[in-house]
Amino acid sequence: MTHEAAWTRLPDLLDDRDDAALLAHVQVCADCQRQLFLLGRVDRLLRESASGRRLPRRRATRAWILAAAAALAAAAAALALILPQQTRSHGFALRTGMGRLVGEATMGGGDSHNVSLALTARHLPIDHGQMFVLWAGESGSSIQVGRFMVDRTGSCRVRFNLPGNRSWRHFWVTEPERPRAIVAST
Amino acid sequence: MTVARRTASNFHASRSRTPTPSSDEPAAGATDPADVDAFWLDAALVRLSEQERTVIELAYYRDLSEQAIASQLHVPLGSVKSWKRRGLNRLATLLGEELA
Repeated sequence: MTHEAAWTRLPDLLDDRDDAALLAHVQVCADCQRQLFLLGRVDRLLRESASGRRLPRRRATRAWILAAAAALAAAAAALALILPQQTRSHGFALRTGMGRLVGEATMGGGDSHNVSLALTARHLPIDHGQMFVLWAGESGSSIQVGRFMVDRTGSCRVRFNLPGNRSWRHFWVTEPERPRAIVAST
Repeated sequence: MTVARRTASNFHASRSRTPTPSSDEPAAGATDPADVDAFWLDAALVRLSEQERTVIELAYYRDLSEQAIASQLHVPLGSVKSWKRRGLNRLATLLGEELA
């Protein structure tokens, strides 16, 4: 894959689209790594902005605001009745096998389908690269929550969404190419 | 602090507010970093093409899938993917220039 092609497709990694050729390029290209880091921050800014407004204020109409408020109120009420446990915020810590704290996360209410997970990683070991994968598991099954990239100190802040209809009990971090090599876990 | 962020801070500091007594009110002259981020994001979005901005706003602010955006805009899915990629890359580049 050429640098230009990889650069164009870097935003795909925000959506957790697996692309081995793209990831292989990113691992050896400092410019793409920096751009991916910036893309992650842009993605976070947009999500934070979206949480405060589902449409840009300059385009929002009064009718839309009223309809959205009513819909949100109805959804919140339904969620409070149906999924009281899912919307309760709680945190957990990620530690290496030696017990060193390398990450903290908070799970909170997202929407009717998802729960939000905010992860703050600190000093993850970057001997094998700055890309990592966060996994979540419950009784007998697991899913890949998403990929994230840390800075040169092994630190970053990132936000993911998880399906809200399951009770996630265990989280762990691996390297992208070595899913069995657990870097840190709850 | 860069010029844009200083401008954002000045912009927010200069906006008149109706004083309301509250223990949560920030100290005089303080600017919420979230406001500065929102100001930067608004300014950066304006610098995208109309298609790029529309696709990103529909994706993030209305939480629409790329397929749903394509249907709503009556354009091919490939165009939506392309505009979204270009717009996000442009925003990241602008942010990189801001942080440099």
